[in-house]
Amino acid sequence: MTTFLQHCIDAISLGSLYALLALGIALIFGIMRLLNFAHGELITIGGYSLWLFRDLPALLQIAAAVAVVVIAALIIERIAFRPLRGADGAVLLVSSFAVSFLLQSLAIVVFGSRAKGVALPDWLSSNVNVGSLRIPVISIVTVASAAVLLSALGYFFNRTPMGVQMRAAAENFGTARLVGVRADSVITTAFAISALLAGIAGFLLVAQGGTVTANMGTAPVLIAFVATIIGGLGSLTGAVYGGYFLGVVTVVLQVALPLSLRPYRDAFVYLAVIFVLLLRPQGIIVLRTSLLRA
Amino acid sequence: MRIARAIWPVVGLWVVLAAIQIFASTQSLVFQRDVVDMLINVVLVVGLYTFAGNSGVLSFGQMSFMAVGAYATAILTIPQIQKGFLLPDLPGFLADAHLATFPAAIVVGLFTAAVAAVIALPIVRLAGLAASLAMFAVLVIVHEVARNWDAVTRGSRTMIGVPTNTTGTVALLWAMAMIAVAFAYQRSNSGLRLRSAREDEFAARAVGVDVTRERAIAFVLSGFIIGIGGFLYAQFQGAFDPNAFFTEITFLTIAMLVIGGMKSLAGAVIGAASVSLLTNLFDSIENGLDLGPVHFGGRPGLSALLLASFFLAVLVWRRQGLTGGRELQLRIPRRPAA
Amino acid sequence: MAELLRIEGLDVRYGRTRALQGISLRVERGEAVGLIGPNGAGKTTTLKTIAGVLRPTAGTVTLDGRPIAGDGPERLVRRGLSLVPEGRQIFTTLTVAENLRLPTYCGRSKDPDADVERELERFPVLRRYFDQPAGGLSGGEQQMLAISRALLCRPELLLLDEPSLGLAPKVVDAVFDALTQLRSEGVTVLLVEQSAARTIEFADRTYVLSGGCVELEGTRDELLGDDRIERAYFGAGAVGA
Repeated sequence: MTTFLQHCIDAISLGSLYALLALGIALIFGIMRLLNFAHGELITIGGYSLWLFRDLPALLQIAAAVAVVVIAALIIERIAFRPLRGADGAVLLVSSFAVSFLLQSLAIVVFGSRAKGVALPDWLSSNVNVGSLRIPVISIVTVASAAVLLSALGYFFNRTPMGVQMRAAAENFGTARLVGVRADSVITTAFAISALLAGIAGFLLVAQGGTVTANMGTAPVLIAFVATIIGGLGSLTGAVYGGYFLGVVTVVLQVALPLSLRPYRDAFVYLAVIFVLLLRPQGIIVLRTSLLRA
Repeated sequence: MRIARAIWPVVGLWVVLAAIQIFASTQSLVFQRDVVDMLINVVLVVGLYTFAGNSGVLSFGQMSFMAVGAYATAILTIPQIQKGFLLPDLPGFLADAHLATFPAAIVVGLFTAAVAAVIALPIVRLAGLAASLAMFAVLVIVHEVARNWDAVTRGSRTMIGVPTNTTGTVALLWAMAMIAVAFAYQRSNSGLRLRSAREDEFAARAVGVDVTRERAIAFVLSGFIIGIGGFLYAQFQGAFDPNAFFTEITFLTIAMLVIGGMKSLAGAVIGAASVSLLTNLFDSIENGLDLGPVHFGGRPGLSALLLASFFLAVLVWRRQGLTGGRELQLRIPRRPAA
Repeated sequence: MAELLRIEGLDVRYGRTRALQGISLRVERGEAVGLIGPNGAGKTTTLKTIAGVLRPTAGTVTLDGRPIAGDGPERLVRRGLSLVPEGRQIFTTLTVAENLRLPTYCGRSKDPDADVERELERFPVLRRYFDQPAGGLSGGEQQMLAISRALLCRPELLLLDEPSLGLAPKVVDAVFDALTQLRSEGVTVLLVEQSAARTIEFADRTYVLSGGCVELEGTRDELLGDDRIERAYFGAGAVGA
């Protein structure tokens, strides 16, 4: 029983991280029909920022890192994505891939290709003991972060003028402009929120792994894409469900796979997803008009 | 004359590549190696184009087939004794297998095509965007498998000892062959049907085109060609590790195809050739160069950065690429009627 | 300024196709002007260009004395323009309330709550579905919502693109009643419709568009019974021409 609960904690924690990742992707896609490969690099920028600010007290370090990610995202939007607004899906996808690769190369040029260690406060790497359960503090932080961010976003999209405008833009960008919604404001806000999510995700990943590398964003962004697709492209709540679903599947496979196959765990996760997509390609992939159902 | 015009899209490209290779044979060894590298890139991009260009589905994972081809080449062509030392845990029949260069190439190509056929089953049923991302997942899967399957791939350690038989001539001949194959395909009924679906999927389905089937054919052929590319690469470098088939080469080949022009075979070839030459320039800059009195210090990673910037610029300013999606045309002035 | 809208020599292309071939028209403040014509004549293109959705290749559009010159739709809304697009295009995932509040965020409304209340008086059915997703409304109800939504931008010039499309005759009556009410409130209207007779009846002046050109222009009295309209729709040699 204890083991089962332990696994549940792992699944919820991992699912929370994946949900945050998926949300960052789904948000930009909902508004701009852009699958942002560069989201992975935003995570990487967050990681390197944590390393750059490593001498600051923990909370300040995190806040500063997130701020850097948001600023970077806004610059990227201005330079790379604004000129391409309105281009068709394939061009946008390739462009975001190009931006992603550009940023990865930039990271290598600036920081080198060797991993950098980021030491976070001891209390983050410790565990909390509840009865016979060993709960890593980082898991608590992850789940708490997700809970706070998801509620905040839910409030934002349902109760604030900008939130309503973004939902309108996600459903029908052209018509939203016809009623006065500013295209630039909506897109800038979407990138800012997406960057906030990426920054927090970057912090959680670094807290778990302890290192920062130039390509640390590739695996998370793939997870985010997959979660978003499972949940239904364009649906925010779907992306969150997709994230938790992948978290559960990953932990289940981690437990169920024989030891020799454990290194291939992620490969099996993706195979499972492809299998799911095979069964329901139209049901899941169909771009529903009901976007951003917060 | 009509025949000349019909085959010029292929022959023209042959002439260009042959000219470069012949020129290279008179130059330094370094330059010759660069040209072989370029020809291998041509094969890879032609393979990518065969699926992506004809179907309109940009696959972010076709280089998985390069990995399959390269590792298959290693297993089939590394001399027995060395193989026993490098890959002691290979299953029996693989440990014993050995083929001469040309038969090995064919087997590698066919094997990769078979792998592609299996992967095609789920992939071609997915809508464009989902298919692109699913192929990215395949790339990650293949990379992870290669990094962990110690018995077959030596895991993340370098595979060494592959005989280096890919000379300039060999690469040129294979490149020419693959260009001919790709052209024959895109002119075939299957190819034309796929291209019609690329332009308007609904209309194509409405006139009875089995889009899934046509995509599958293109995908398998793409796998074959890229597998050959992997073979050439393995026998050129003689050594490689899983990272050779991951995001860098994926980005490079996609950039080559898009810069050349995604919708035509000429775009694939010219894109590959010109970007290869461009990256040589960028590599020199990365290693530091002297322009008269001015010295640019080298920085690792600069070459990739420059290429990515160039690529993004092309996307913003000339999306349709160098060829604009057109094939090479033969313009012969018609004789006026008597 | 008496003239609220002026279009001169407007040329709009879709790729190589010339949708509008140098048209000119004007709308005086307080007028109701109709724009009719057969399918593909360029009526929707005209409205979209005025609203800033499409860019002209030549010609000018002047709103209240100043050219629109590349202003985007959201900027033109703030200059007093509002378009009720073809097919209504309300936000189905938003509630009726959210659909109505959305336009008030552009800042032209001095008292958003009062304005919303006034629309609810105009179309009581909207009050009934106030907190429900707008996707549940019928076609006619959606049209009411679309009109109210456009009005909540407090426009000086209201553009409507085929508001009667796909609606039952009784509902069309209700729509035109609302438009007549708007006229009495002083809103300037440019109405695009397929139904020629109704539009000519409703509007002070009507333009007839065909093949990207203005074929005819006239007041209600001038156009009623004019067989040139039939020819504009069906070409010369049409029945009864």
